[in-house]
Amino acid sequence: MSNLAFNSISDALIMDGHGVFVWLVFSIFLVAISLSFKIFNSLIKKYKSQIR
Amino acid sequence: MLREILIIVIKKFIHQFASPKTYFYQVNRIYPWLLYISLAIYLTAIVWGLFFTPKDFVQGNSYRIIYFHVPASFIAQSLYAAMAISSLVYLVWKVKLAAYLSRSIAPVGATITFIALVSGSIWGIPTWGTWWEWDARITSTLILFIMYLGLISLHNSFNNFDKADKLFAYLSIIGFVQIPIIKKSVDWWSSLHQPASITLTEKPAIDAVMLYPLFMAIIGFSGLIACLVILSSKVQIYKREKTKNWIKNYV
Repeated sequence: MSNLAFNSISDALIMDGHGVFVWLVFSIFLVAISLSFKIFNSLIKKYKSQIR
Repeated sequence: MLREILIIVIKKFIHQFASPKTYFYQVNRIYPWLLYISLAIYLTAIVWGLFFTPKDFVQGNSYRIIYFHVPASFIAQSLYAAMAISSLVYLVWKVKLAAYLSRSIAPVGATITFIALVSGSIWGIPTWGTWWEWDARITSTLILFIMYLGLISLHNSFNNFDKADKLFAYLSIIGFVQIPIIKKSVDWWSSLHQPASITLTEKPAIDAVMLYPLFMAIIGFSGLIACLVILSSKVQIYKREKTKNWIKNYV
């Protein structure tokens, strides 16, 4: 692993002006994947309760 | 003699593991391990890629989107290939589980293709100066997304699962032609999108410092997507096997 690429947390957030793009993609990614897990789990619960 | 033994073993394997019941119990055992290991690998890759790799000489820090975009694009296409293979297995050997799996892959594939498109568009703003261009790679990926949605709508429009499964299988196999087109689009047509940085035949065009976390991200993300496919397939099993005794006993 290389050295830390940023000197401070604000540097890591701003990323020389590119932070907005990187963190936006990260947020969309996180939301889409978490939502998918949540939707499938709630569907499983729904069908389980129908069987009961 | 050896041939007969082999046939018996294959038949036993198909009979045992192609049953939704066996599959269901097997994936229930694997799922938590796969989820936590994949999550650990992916989080390590993301932290490594976002905070510990140097910035790119040309693209600056915007290249860090690679750790989301490349795994998503790779898996969007791989999932379609898996769906087409599963459909072929269903049509040739009439394996019910293969039909369940094909249908389960479609919504996950659509979500991941959506992520690939959106992350690519956002990456396009700082690198190309535009979020969208009707070039070969982007347009063919958009068609892939529409195909996933179309297949899901088609399957949902039938009340008869057998008919739906057959049509779904035929169309997903026909649609497979799209995958080599997406893959080769950057070589066949002039495109804003760069050619593949990682190929099987050539040395990667990306430095090892950035490449290792990318490989890790692809492995970890593949594991997470396998978990989503498992959940989606369990939905299909609960939906379609609800009258069977084994599922009633399980619930």
